[in-house]
Amino acid sequence: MANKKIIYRCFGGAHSSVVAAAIHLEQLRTDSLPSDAELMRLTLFDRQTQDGHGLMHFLGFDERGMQVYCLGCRNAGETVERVLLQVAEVLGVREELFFVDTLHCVTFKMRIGGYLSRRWQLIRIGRPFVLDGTRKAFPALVKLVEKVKKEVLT
Amino acid sequence: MNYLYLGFADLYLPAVAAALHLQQLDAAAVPAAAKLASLPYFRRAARDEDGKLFLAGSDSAGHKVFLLSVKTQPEVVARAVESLLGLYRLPLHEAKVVSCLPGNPQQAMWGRMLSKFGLNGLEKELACRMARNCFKDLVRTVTDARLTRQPGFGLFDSSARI
Repeated sequence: MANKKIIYRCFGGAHSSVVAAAIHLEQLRTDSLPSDAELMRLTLFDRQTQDGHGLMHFLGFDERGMQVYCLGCRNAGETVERVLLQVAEVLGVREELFFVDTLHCVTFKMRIGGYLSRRWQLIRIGRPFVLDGTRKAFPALVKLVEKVKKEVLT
Repeated sequence: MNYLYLGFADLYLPAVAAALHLQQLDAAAVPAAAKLASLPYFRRAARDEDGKLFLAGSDSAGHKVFLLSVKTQPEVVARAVESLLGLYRLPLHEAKVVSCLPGNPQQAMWGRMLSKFGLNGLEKELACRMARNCFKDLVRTVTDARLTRQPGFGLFDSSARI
């Protein structure tokens, strides 16, 4: 169990996967919506660059000692996951990887804001959209992480 | 050590590269179209084969040779594999991704379009022409890939030269 690696993946590895990982690592309270400052305190939140896409970023150990990562795959999430699982099988570590797609939790505001902030570097315009959109997506992300924790335990 | 020859939307160029690696093709001369067409995996990747690894065989040193194709973001896939190796502190040559992408990505697009219209023969012909045109580049790519520093040795693997 301690060797297990939970990898939250999304498009850019800057918003939904980072927040999901933070929820998993209990860096964010789940009984209330996070403030702008709380979200901006998260490592990589709205900071990931295109060069970082495809790189797994280690964010910490959870309460059971499992490693938590985030990963930006652009529009090739399923393909990247498939390739990595097969390579892991060749290397004999297939059972240690657990991928979680967070894209379905992403709201329209997050998409627009993320595109403006990360793709076009229009941070002043995009970031408020991202922050607001993330708060809207927060309950769905909390549910997803709860489901992941249950699945990993069984 | 594992070699992963990565193609874009089809398996044509990775199949040729894998055949070169496995010494099923003579690197000194550009092969005939018929010879290329008879190679295993020299074909378009099916919809459900996106990102699927195919084992082409093992080379003389016992290293496994795989091929795969992805429909989008090949550079992200290559980076992700390197990142996975980093997670386990494995050297990069443990799973070496070798890009076999066409110089012009539109070539892959034309092939896809021909296949969509049912012109499979024409598509195969285009693929053979593309593979023959970039055969020398593929030879260089495979040679470079095989010249990777071997673990535990201070020298390059000169026996791997084709």
